[in-house]
Amino acid sequence: MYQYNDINQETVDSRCREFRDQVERRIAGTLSESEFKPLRLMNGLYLQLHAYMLRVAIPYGVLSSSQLSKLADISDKYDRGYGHFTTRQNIQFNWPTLEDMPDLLEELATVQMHAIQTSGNCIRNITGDPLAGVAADEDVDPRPICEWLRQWSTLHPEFRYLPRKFKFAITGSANDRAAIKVHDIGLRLRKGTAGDLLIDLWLGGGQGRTPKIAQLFKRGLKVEELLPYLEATLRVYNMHGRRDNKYKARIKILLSEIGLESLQAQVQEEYEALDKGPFANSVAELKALYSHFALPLIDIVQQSGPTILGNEKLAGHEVQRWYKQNTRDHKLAGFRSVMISLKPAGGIPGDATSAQMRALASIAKQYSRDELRVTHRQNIVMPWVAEKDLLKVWQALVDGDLAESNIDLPSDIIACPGMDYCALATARSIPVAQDISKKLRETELQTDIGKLAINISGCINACAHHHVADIGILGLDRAGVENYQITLGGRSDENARVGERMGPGLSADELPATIERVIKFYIKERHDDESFSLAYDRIGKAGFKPAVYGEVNDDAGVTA
Amino acid sequence: MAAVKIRDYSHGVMLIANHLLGGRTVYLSGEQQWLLLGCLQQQQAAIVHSEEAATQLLASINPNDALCPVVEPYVVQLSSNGMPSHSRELLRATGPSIRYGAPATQEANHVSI
Repeated sequence: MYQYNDINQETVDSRCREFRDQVERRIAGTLSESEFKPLRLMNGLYLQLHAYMLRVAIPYGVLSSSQLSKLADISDKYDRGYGHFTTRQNIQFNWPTLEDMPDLLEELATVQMHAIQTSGNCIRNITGDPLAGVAADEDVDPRPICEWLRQWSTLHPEFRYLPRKFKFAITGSANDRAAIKVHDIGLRLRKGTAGDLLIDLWLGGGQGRTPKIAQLFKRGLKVEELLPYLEATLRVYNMHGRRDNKYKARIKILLSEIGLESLQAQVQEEYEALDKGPFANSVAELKALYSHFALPLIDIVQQSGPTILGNEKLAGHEVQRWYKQNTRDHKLAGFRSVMISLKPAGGIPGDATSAQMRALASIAKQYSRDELRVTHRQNIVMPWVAEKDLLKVWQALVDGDLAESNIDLPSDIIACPGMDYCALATARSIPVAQDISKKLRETELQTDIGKLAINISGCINACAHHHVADIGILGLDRAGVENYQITLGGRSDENARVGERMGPGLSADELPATIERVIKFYIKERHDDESFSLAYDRIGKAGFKPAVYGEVNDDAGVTA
Repeated sequence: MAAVKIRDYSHGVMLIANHLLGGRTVYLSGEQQWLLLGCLQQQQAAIVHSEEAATQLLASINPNDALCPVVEPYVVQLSSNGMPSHSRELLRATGPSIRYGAPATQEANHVSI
């Protein structure tokens, strides 16, 4: 993984010194709150319902063991012994104090981490495929491009006050695990016929109150064109994006208002006029980054071992279920990627205690080349586990309460912090997720269902991606009472689309039974192993709606 | 200054905010002290029962004063039990409704090979 150079480290260290001075001036009373608020937000420090919240960037979701250990230490020293992994591959601490913030950030900097650009109207943390560089189905390892763009976008002087926040996601696989089509810009890296790197740029995706699927904006960019083309795109957005209404300020609205061809023409004109001089060394800089992400030189034969599936002693054992559900094919023979669920039945999606973080760091240090990933589904990946070590890894995960075998199953629920923490939320989402996952566990429905995404957002800002879930739940406030709308049929992959709203909202108490009915209806109606989204395509809103509102009989058939 | 938007003054309103240094949610007492909302004692709170009094209460705090110990103050409506009437502010008073930071129980699942 990437290691900071002296310039990177000094950039972060100097920012720590600057923010320490700003905090001291705020506490001393020489900076007012209105002066200080934008400064703290630039450093990822929010004020939430109960306390300050610090959002720490995890660039494209890649973490070292020492970084995760430091996050565990910080959660014990400055917080309440846990952290919350988010859908943008970041981590949030819910209880730090302003007084502690300078020391906390300095500790983060010692492991090459920071909270810069995790808030504000700037380019946010760049997210990516959590299996980047190890996935068997990958065309191009996106990590060098991710890092290149991280460096380009960090403290970019022209883009620090955009009309609104701006989010990138990047994948190098046809199977999109980074949800690139619901980001302001999504990049799909692929190889051309000559084996050269080509980049398709998808633009104008996003969620929130106006969900949009990105459109293919520029096909087949060459690598030397990428940075100037992005610079031209951001410049046009910076000039013409609306600043009079924050709900209409994202680039998806600009795209809708002026149209694809018009925006493409403006960006092309800007691109052609752009001085390319500053980019003269950028490709050389990119090439230098590749050494940080080279495949390890490993004696593959030594990594192979008795497979878990082929071991008769393990027939029917939980570890075989875990292997099938929580490990993935690897680019290197003899290796698997291990996915660790942060969604135990009744647990808090995305939360990890300091003990769990240390356990993960320790296991990764021993068995995963010191490396972990955070997924946008709020789970963790160990990307470099040898087949021969899988059983030991599983055992260690069991010991750390980290071996839930439910990756991509319905109880692998995405949930934002909701009104239990978030100042923007209009309803709670975590207890809803807990109740639904408990219900699914009780009925053992999961084993019959297969892959199915349930995402729960506590407000229309859609941090939990409810618009693009098979089953999306949106919490709203109806005269002081929590109320939940159901959407069905969304998806966030390469065939991304926004789900359809079913109708009137439901109470929190009604949700577990509602979700159970919808799932039973799907199981009854699906053809063979037809996915939820394909079944929804065939059956439609009118077919599913009676299941949502309980107008079905006991065997989940629709009543007349 | 945030506007006062209260529907019903019959059970009174009080002033809440975040403490500048710690960030924790606090309420204003009759003694003009900021106390932790999580330890709310109604008899200690500065409670008023009219829009005029609520406006005065809110105006008594100037969060733009750099020496003000709290940020983002606003008034909240109380219900008959003396607690905030809206679910959002009730959560601010009672804390997260979930047991945070603790993993769900999971049965040990060791295997001998």
